[in-house]
Amino acid sequence: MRKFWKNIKRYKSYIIYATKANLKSEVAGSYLNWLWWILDPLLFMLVYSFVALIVFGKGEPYFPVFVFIGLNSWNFFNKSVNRSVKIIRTYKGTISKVYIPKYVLILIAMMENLFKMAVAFVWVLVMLPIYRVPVSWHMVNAIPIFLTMAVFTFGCSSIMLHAGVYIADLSNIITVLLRLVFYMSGIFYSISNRVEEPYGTYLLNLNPMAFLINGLRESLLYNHMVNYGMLSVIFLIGCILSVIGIKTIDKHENSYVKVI
Amino acid sequence: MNAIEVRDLHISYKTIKAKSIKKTLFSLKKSTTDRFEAVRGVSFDIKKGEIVGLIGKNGSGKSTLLRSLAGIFSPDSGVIETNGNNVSLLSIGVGFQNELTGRDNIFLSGLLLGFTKEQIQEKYEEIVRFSELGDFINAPVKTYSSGMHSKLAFSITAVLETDIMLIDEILSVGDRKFKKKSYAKMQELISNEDRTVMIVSHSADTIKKLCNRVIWLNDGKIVADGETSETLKQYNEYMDYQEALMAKADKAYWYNKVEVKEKQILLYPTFARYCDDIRYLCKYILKHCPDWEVVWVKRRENEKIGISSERLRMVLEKTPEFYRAIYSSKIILDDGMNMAKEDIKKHAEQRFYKILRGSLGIKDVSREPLSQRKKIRSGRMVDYCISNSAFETEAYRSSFWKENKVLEIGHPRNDALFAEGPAREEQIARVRRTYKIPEGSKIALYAPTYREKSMDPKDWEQIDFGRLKEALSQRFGGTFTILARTHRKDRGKWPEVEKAPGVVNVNNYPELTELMLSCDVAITDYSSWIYDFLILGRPGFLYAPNAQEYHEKRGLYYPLEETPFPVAANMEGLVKNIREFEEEGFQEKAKAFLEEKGCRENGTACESLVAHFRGEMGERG
Repeated sequence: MRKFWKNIKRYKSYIIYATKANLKSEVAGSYLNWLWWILDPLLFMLVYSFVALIVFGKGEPYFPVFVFIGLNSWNFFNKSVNRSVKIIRTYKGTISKVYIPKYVLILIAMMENLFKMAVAFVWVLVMLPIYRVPVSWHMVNAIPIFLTMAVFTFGCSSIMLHAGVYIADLSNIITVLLRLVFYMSGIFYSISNRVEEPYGTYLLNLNPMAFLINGLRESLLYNHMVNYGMLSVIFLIGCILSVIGIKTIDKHENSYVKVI
Repeated sequence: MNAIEVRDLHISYKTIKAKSIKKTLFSLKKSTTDRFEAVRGVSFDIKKGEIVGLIGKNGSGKSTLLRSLAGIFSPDSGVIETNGNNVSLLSIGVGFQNELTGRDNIFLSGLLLGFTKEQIQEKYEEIVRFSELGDFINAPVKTYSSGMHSKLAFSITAVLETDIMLIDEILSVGDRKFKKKSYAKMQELISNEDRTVMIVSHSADTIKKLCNRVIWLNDGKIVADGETSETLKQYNEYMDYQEALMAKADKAYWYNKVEVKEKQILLYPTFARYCDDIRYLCKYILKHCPDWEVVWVKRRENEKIGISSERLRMVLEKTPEFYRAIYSSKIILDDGMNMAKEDIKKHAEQRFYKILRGSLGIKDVSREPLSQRKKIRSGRMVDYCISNSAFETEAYRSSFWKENKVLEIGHPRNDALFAEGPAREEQIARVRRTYKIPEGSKIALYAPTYREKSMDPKDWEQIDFGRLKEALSQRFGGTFTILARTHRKDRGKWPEVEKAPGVVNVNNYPELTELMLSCDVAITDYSSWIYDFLILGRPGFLYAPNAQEYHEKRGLYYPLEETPFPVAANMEGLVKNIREFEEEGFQEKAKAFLEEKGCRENGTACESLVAHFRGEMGERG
């Protein structure tokens, strides 16, 4: 693990530069350029507000914000994991020319998605007063939840990176699987209100993403305390997955080039 | 100071193939993880500023080693120390991210090579200029042509100037102009005394031109490590040997692939210019057996034998064509131990014949300096040994052909010694014409056998050709021209004979038998040709300055004194023997000698041998 931290430090500037370059390349060539990073979530929010209010009717309190928080958190996790499965193949050219610790690639992918999520949450902050959501100190609880989400995402991604190298069609499976998890994470509905007991509790406690998204809404919108016991458990699981992932990658990364 | 230190490096791949889910689910066996060790225990030091070539056949671990030096593969065990130098790997194909611009890729590559953003910024303009990309530098790399792609890659590594450069095959990049520029740049980079360079290349020329040291890797291990030309020489020798092995592998292939041709005979001479048995038999077959095909094995691509026919085919030894001929010939005639060089499995209907070039020879056949394996193999492979006498049959029996059938029918080469008439006249005339021997001059032939390795001719008294001529003229009258010929194995190594003044060197004459026919007097030391010459009944002398040593080291069947020829141990003795030569006594002795050895030569050897072949081929009459 010491090697991991050393590498992070060593490749810090690479990660930052690569993240920036990737983000730039996504909007390069479009008219509005970097404005898209801000417009993109805004337009999506308008779409979901429409869907939420017109199609579903008044589902939950502050329903558009409710959906928006869920969707963007989910996107962060979903995109990071999905990309990790294929990431060795994506960077094939680079890694066969020069050494790079492979989890650095995950970090680049996560940083990009993190940036997008951050922009989206800036909109959330803008919307809170618009929807007259009461401000409370519970909102601070979002910070440990984001942290836990990042660690958990990294853990899942690092394991997917390794598996993705050896199993050629893992990507297809993961896409379907993540879609299932998507519906089980309560993005468009509230698990605790809509799912019958005891299944709702099961879903919230057994699906970390559902728990984390729910936690974000509770602290940002509904002024509720977060279940720190459960959060610690997920954090721990994230850490364990990360350590396993890092160790596996460390052990096998010199044969990746040969396999692909 | 060492720029690179490598100690006991091992790198292996687990050869797990990427699998689909389907395969993973339906194959119950645990995925077989074969470990393939690409580099096995390699150690070396490279000093700062050295330019080292890395050679080896495909798959010998060169690229793996290079990549591990670049840090792309971490070693399984062992140490790579680059002492804080930054390392770049230059190879065909580049590690760009296609979505990103050239500019971003420059920075990312630089960062990965261990440079800081500021350092890259400093060199950025130069890279762009060198790459000749202009405004394209701000376009995504995916829009580049392959030439632009490689130009950019080359420029990055060339301009950023790492301390250690690893070059996987010298790149020829871009158009001609850029190629020139990049090659010049490369040479400039390499020649920098602070830069350490390692080059992998299959081009011996490139390595020779650029490197001052070469490491030869084979199957993941260092075979040689040293000065360029020496190592390259060793490597080339090895590769030639490998090629020969490949040809050998063809052997088994052709065995199953070809069928035996009933009317094909393969002749396998040991020397192109010392194979009269083969030569005469070949001519005989071409003349008398109109439906036979003859295959002649040559040793060198441009070997000429002076016989040509539509039915005569030359094949080069150890080529696929050669193996094909070996397995498809009904009859194989070998005038030495050639067939025993390889373990050839013959088809049941094939017949192998063997001739000794020695016949009544005096040298012990069983003590021929050949490997024991060859001797045993030959004994096993040969069907018929061709002999010309009871003596020779015994020579076969007492050496390695104890069980084989012996045909006592005489040697094809000696048929010419019996033939009278215009054919013989023509043969003699040809020799005289070739060497412009003056009309009326008599001829003496001096042809010693080859020097055994352990014997140095410097220790012996060499023949004095002036005195020899004088003595011959005194005894036999007229003037003498002396022809000298050294053994095939000694060509060019015996100037005292080959370049002696007043002597005609006949080393290049193809047929010794024709020389015999042409000469009036013969002189040798221990060579067996003189016992063929005996058939002609002409005078011969032995000049054997080291008879005792020769007998001990090489082995003779009978003492020289038991031959009909007068023996001399020095020049004095030779002159005396010639002057006192007595015709009648010699003829009597010669007759007795041939009788005693049970000689069967009568000039019909070719005829009898071909009749035997016919019998094997199932022909009647």
